[in-house]
Amino acid sequence: MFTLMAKLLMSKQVKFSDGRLELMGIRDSFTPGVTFVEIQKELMKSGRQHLIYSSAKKSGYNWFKYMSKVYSGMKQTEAVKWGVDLMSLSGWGIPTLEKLDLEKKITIFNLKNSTVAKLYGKSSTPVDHFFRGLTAGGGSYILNEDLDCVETHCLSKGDGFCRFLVAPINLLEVSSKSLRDDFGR
Amino acid sequence: MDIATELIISNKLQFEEGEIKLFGTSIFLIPPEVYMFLYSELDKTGQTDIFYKTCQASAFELFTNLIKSSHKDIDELIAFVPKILNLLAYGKVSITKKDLSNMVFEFSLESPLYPEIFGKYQKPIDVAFAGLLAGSLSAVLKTPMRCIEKECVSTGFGNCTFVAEMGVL
Repeated sequence: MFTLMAKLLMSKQVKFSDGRLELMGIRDSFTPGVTFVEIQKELMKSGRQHLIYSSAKKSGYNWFKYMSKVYSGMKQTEAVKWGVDLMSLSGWGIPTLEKLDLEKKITIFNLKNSTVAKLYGKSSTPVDHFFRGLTAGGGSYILNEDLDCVETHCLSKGDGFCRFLVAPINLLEVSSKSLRDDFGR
Repeated sequence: MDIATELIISNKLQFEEGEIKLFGTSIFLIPPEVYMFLYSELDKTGQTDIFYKTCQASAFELFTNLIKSSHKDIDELIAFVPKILNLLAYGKVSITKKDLSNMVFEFSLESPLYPEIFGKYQKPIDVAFAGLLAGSLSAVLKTPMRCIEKECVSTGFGNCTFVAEMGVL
């Protein structure tokens, strides 16, 4: 079993009981991957993938806000690394932190074996909108500025792994179509 | 031993780095507020049935895999439906009516997750869970089953209740 999950189960930071799952005090649930990907495909048909992005961004922000109260005093760099570990628990793939520039507020994450990309199949555009949103939301809270995220490489597009650039929107090179469909702006 | 521990030991619930699998089917941890946000957005365009259909298909796959790897009879498999769905953590699931001859079933969902987060709403909101029940029962009974949420905590009831019967929604 994945070591981190084993540790969290042992320390009761993950609790399963009678239809209830709590991850570090927050109620959570599992969703079949296919369900999520099919919903996303439906939204992408009408250029509304920004709904997944926005909801994940809000959720990522709120998660770190809650955790900062529980684990107060954590440094920004520690919080980012800890966030990466937590994301690896959630079944989306194996995230790693590639770059963290606290001054420019730029972060780069890689995601190996993206589960969404594997379930989604081939695509001409990146498909990890949920992960994009989580990193944008988490980054926004930790770095105390409204940040956004673009997926620059994606397994579904034929790249070897997925890569995410989190930064203020003015630093991201985003087309007007992407701004509308991927960010809802 | 609880069902989660039992399945982890038997390797049917696998937590690997970056991947979670239940009976070979990939599952994700998704914060409930994401569902809530997507549900309310899709409700504006009358598209919430997508939750039902996709969950139905996923549960059908999950239970088809489960049936392949077990030697349980029909009653045991039906009893397994709430046990497995409990693992997904949408609330405490139990069967309240089982009429195998007429293929009518009722389930209750105590302390349901989404209504707890969602609060009051003008109609039942657990369409995803209804889809999971429909897909699970369709695989177990080997016949198309449909399911609707009859009562929902979000509309003022104490528990959510679901009715499943033969047919397609």
